[in-house]
Amino acid sequence: MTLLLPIAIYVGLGVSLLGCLLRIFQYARTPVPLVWDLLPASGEETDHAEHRGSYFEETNWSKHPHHEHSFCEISAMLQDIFLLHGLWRINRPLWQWSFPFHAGLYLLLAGGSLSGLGVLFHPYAIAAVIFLLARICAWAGLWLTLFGSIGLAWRRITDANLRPYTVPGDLINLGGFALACLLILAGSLSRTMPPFQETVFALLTFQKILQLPVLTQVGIVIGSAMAGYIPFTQMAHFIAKYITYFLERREDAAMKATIQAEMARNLAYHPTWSASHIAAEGNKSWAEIAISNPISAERISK
Amino acid sequence: MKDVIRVSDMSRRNSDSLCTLDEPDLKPSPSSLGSVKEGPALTPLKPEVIQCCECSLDGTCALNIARPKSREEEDRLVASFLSGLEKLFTRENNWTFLRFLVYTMENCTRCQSCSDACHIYEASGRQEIYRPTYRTEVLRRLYFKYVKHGGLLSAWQHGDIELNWPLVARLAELSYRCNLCRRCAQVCPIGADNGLLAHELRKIFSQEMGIHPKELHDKGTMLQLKVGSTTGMPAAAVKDNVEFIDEDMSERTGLEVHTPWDVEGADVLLIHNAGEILAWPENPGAYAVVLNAAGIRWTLSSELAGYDAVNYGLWYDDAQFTRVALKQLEVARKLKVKKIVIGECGHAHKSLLVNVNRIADDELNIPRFSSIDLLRDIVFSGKLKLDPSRNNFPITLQDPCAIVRLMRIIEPQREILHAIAPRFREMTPHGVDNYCCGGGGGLAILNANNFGDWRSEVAGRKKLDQILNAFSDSLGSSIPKYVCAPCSNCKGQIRDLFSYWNIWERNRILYGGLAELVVNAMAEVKPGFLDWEWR
Amino acid sequence: MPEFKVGEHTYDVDEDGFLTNPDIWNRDVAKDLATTEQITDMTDNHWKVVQYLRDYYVQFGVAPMVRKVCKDTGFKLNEIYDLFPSGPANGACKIAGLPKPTGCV
Repeated sequence: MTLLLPIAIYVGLGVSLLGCLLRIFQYARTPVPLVWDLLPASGEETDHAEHRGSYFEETNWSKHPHHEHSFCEISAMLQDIFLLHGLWRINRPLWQWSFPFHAGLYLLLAGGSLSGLGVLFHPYAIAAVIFLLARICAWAGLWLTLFGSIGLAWRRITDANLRPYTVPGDLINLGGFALACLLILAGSLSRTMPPFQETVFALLTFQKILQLPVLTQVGIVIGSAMAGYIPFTQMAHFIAKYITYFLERREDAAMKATIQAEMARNLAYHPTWSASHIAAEGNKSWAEIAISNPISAERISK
Repeated sequence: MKDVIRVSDMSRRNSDSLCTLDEPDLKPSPSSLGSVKEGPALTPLKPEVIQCCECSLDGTCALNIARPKSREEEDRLVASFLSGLEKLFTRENNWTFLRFLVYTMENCTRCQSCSDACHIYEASGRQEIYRPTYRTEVLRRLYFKYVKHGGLLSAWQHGDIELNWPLVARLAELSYRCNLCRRCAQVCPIGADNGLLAHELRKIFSQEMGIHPKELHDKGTMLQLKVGSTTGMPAAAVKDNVEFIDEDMSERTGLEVHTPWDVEGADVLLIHNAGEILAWPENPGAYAVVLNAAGIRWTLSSELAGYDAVNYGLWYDDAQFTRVALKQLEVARKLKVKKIVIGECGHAHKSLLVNVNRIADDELNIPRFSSIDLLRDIVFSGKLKLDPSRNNFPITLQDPCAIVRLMRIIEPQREILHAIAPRFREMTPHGVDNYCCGGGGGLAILNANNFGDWRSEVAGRKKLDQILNAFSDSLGSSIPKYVCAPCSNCKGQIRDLFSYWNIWERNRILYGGLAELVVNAMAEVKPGFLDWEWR
Repeated sequence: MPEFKVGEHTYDVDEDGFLTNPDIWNRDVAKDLATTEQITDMTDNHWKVVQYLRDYYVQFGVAPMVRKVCKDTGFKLNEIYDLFPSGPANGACKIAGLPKPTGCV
């Protein structure tokens, strides 16, 4: 085995991490928007919440400090992330493929993290337990991801609702995951596959001693490439989902000063919209436009 | 079997509609709505309209965009659209919604989970163009190709599209085939918001190209900023009308009804949708009765925009939205009132209680809340003597999307109805899962050509079905029934829907607001306040 | 700008057939407009409603409430529909030379 594999893994993970950070930065940099509405604060969407009303149901709501992250809400969020509860409720035929796919990815992530942990703790006895867990996670993760990605791709091709909206990129994405899992699994079934613990240890600590089956090697390279590629596609929805879906719908009151400063900056922007009623003329700020009356402007220009 | 309409069909060069709406395809079927209509669902467009206007989407036409006379003019319009598209994705031009916009553009996985949530898509017999994701997909492909300047790789990753004038013209119309009810956003597993994107598209057309329905712009926000109200009522007219309402209400209730005007320092400034005063005067009248009976120090304002809570800008144009909203808050500030209460109008609730919040400074941020909350407080304060038996007829409740789904004011109206309406029953589904009346997003007041047909045949179809189902135990014309719709927009749409499907004659279903039911139950009011013969 | 022709008269109207310039209205114009509403004979009852709308419009710059029209002219709503089949707003207001009612009405 060359050093290519460990390098592929670390580059893949590194690019992935960097990509995610970039993505977070990109969303965080967008200006603070107007409040669009209270929806969908996901916590309220679960079956747990008996009553889904908001503080607007009170006549004196503005005097109350409101909104706390409740246990219910956090539990709902976790259910949504790990069990895809939202999809379960509204689109079960898709859930039956999407859930194994996502669960597989989570398990692979867990398997990878546990492997890292195992390497760190390898002088201790606990390492054996960690590696065992890692192995179970990785193994289950590979199968579930394989199963899920093939199912999702199949649905994309055969389902009349999805087909018109399926682009080559979708199939390549899913195909990439399926192929990586398939190759790794196929290789690991061969007799030349060394024990899990040794393999992981060698891969993560740049050792050349091991000989892995070619299929597994190719699978690992593709898998690492996919990891690096995720943040640059729609598959990064988990990042934005957290930011806009869970954080953005929070209460304004707590961050009043920040928001006021941000709004002052927004209102100072000079828009260049061309329609005559906006009367932007390139030299007016949003604040000026907001307090101008297009009717009087119209009269003057006539 | 119809051909599946693809995203690429938007750029089709011929002027045939992408789809035709035939009655037998629409769901639920006309027979379950109690009608035997067959054939095309919409009255055909007039030949002169087809000749001079762009109407190659679906057999109706809300905007009457003039056909360009030459290829050069087409090119200019496409260039204008493109520059608007680019601006939509810049912070200088669109800080207001850029974050959610980019989020939905880049993350939607096109899983189509939202399609079945859309009443327009369902009612149309699942016409492809009405899918929440169809219009979004067009915009998404334009975004990756023309804003992100993606090449071949991007086309392969996100899909390709050809930008031309037919596409732009169709997209303009398509942005007004959405009620902005956001049921699709509510069910989206990743929180993408296809409803918002219809709104953002409308902004390109309005803010860059000056294309908007005249009902929303010229006779909407512009008229409001000119004379004070989208109804065209100047202060003198609104005062005259309210005086008439006071007299009428005094006669009908047997109580002395007086509406105070421009009271400085009042506890409550009530702002109605001014359309109520003209079209449903019992509603503002009922508020006068209830507020006076509860001893509240309240007032109306006769300042420009102070007597009309509507803000059509919310539906199509950020500049117009901020102008109107700030004017309304300014009125309250000048009058030094303690609180603003918004009358029974959904989008006015949202614009003044939610959307304007961050741009109003401390001085303008006067506490404001819903008239529904206030009614609930009054009903349960014990200040009114209520006799629920006066409301002893089947009543169902329409949940306005803005108030219920988007602001989560769910229970107060139900608490009231449970207290005063013994035969109240819910629609299925209701609450935050409700369906739009079909008039949301400004559509209720669009009436160009045969657009009214489209609203009643397609957009409102689901709601009509829900209403008839809610009254399935008492259909027919012998038992009078009432749809309580605490929103002017819903009422306008339900009125048109009922008249189109002949519901009053066939089923004796009346519609109206919430406050009217409270007054109808007041023991000190002359019995029979509700006027069943009126409509 | 759409036009509407009757006999030798031509009027500028909007897409819904309402006069673009309400100020040119007189009783002859009203009779011409009535033909677009399938009203061939303007009776005294028609005139009563039309003249009421017109006077109100001249005073307030806007159409009156339907309810007020009913009360002040003494006609019930269904009687107004009998007189003007497309209703008080679309039928009667058009003949009275008012602009089309706007807003959530």
